[in-house]
Amino acid sequence: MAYLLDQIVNGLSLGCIYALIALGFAMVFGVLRFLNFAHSEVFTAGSFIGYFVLHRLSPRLGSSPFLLVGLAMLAAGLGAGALAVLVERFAYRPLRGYSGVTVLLSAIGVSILLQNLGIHALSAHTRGYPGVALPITPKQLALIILVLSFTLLFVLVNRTPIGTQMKAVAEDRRTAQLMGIDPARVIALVFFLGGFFAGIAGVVWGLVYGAIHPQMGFYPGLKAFIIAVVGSIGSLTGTFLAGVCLGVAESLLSAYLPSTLSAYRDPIVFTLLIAALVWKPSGILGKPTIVKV
Amino acid sequence: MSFYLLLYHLSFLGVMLLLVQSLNLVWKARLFSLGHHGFFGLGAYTAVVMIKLALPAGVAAWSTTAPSQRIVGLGLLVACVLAGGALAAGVAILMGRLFAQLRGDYFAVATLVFAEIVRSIAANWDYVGGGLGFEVPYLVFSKAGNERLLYGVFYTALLLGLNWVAFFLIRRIEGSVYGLYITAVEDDPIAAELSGINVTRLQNLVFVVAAMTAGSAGALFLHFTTLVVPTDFSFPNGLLVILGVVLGGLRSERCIIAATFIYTSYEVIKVRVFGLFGFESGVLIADWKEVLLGLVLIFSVTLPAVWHRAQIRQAGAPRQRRPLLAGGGRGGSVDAE
Amino acid sequence: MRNSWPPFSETEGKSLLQIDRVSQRFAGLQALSDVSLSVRRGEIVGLIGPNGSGKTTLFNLITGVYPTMRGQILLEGRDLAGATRHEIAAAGIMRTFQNPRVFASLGLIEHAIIPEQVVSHPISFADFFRQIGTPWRAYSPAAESILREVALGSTYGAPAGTLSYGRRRLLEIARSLAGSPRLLLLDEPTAGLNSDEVHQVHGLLERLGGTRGLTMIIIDHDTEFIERLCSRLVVLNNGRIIRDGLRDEVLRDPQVVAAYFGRVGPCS
Repeated sequence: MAYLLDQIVNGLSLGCIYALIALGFAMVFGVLRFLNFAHSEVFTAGSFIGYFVLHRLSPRLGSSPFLLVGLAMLAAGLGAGALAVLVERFAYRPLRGYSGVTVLLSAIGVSILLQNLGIHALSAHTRGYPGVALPITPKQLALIILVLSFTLLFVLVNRTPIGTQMKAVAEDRRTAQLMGIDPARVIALVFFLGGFFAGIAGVVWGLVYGAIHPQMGFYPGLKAFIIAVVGSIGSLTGTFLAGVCLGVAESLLSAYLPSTLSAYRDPIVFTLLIAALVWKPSGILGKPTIVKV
Repeated sequence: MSFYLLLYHLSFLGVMLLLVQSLNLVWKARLFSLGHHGFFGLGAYTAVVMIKLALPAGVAAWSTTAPSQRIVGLGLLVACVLAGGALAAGVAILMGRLFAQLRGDYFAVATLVFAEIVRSIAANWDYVGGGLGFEVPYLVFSKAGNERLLYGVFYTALLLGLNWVAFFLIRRIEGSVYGLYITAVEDDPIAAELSGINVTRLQNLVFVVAAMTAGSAGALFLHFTTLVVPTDFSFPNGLLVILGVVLGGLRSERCIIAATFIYTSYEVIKVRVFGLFGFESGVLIADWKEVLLGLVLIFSVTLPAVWHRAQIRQAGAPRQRRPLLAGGGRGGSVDAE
Repeated sequence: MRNSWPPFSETEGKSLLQIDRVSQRFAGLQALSDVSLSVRRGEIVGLIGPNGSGKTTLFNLITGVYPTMRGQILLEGRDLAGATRHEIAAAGIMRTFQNPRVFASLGLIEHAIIPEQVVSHPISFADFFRQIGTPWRAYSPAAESILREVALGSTYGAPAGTLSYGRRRLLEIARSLAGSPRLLLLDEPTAGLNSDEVHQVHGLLERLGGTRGLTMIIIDHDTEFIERLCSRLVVLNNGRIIRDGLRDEVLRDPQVVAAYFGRVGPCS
């Protein structure tokens, strides 16, 4: 029983990381109706920024671990957010108005570009993440961070004027423009926020799993994207639920699959995700959209 | 470059052409599949399974050079290619049913995940060799001594022949009413549907035909290289196929051929520099050409868009054609403009 | 299959389309409320009303672009609920759009061939194998007769994307005719046309309605056009039918005048 609980907790923290990454997908899609494939690399970038910050600052701030981790996350969030904004500016904005697949291709291009730039700059091997002596376990940290992030985001989107602007642009960009909202700024902000949280997720991942490498973003990113879809893109609560479910499912599968099948955990998870996609093409909380002709 | 190496590159070009042409047809029908390489892998691994079933005594027991064995080998080759195509087609039929409700970009990701599932099952299934891949015996001809050239010519001819058949088939399709249907769906899927075209069924049809092509290509290519490794159809390689379609633009076959040739040359350079094709396409090995690939992909979609915008600004009126992949997802564009 | 028009005498007077208390709501906007309408074979019905009154929405419901949430739509007694758009098109309901939607890279002949073929031979694997051997040009003669009827001129090969606006409208009509429809829905066929082109469309529709007995529902704002063509008018306002009757009576109804024309007084 204790083992089961352990696994569930593991799953929850994994799910939190996925959900944090999924936030970025969900928000960008909510506003732009576009799948930001390069989001995974933003996550990786955040992770690496955190890595370097921790290395640099740990000798000096080793005694106050919360400050250390906080700074690392802040730096990672800001850096990843900035990267996301840059990507939007150069790879997506020129394609405004063209179909989702065109932009998706550009996003894939960015993803490959960043992955391989990372490999060149930082070498492909796996690095160990610096450990930080926190009074709480990294997994508990993940949970706390997620709750904080969701609260922050919820307040931002629903209680601030800029949040209303974001919702307006998501709903109807042209009308929002006519009302005086500058969509370019709002979109940049959305990308920044998505990147910010993904960057933080990167640091959390590093702390929880202890190892990072330049191509680590692909699988978590893919899973996070599907979580965002299943959780009905645009809905924060749905994303949260879906992320947590996936994390727990993955963790339980790892723990309880018979050994002959244990290597198949990833394909099984992917199949489950496809099943969710097929079962609910608009996401678990969404309604089918009506297209005007 | 030795003649043999030239044959090798020609075969590789042949495979790429097959994959790109088949995927192009699928994309024209507004099914933006990103997992076409998954069918290639399915075909290859079907051949692997068939070989394993046909040679219960193990691969080493096969002797290529005995004359009766050659004939058996030929039969086995044909069987593998057909089976590879058939299985891929079957899976495609299933996918068409399952994914019928999915919107354009969701469908794209679902196909991507499908290809990943194929790769990861292949990488974990010990029966077919797992991550290390599987080596099949040489069928009909082998690489030993003076047979080598014959072997190269035989398989290259087969691959180019298959290509020719595919090319001919695609021409036929495009010259028939089905070509009209596909172009209608490409231009305006909603108007097409309201004119009586069952868009979903048309898309499934095209998807299955393309999958069959890719599966057969996979089986055939396997018997040529005799070694398959799961990373052969990992996502970066699948991306090369997609890139060929994108660069070719959906309109002209010649464009596709030119595009395929261009980046196949890039691949060929990579092959020459690093040797065997099988291992270099792995995800972990990078060189500057991968970076270039990313940049090419970005620019190949953004530059036409930027140029198109500049044209609009200059001319003051919208042009008739929109570049590449403009328009909505699987369901068609949203607002009556 | 149905390659010929139903003869006028046989079908005149029978109910073709029955719309029964149909409503449509779009997230906060009630686009149609309790709309009921019956169209007999051979009728030419004008559907008028101010902008935003729900006319195009009604067309979208009939053709299956929107699923019917409330109410029923019957074609010759058969309930269209659950039918897909292409099934409805194949059953005989064709339409044109407010902005002509043509297949930009296909030529004129192709536009006429597609519906004619696909309606009589639905897409399937079997049909696919059968058709692969036949070049589509083999079906040109039948298509050409439709193009001639619509008087589209002689350059049949030019891609539709290069056509002028007026010719694209005509092409759209030609395409919808090619599928041998029982019912033709025309959404503002004269919008954006000059007076010559309007004349041309008018003549064409008169021929289709008069000689061929084709049932039509026409949305338009050109009152003269509607007056001359339609014997019966249905007026929509704010998603409800406020008047349904003979042309002259409807046009004199002060309620209609106020709602639609925004002024009091006779129109002529």
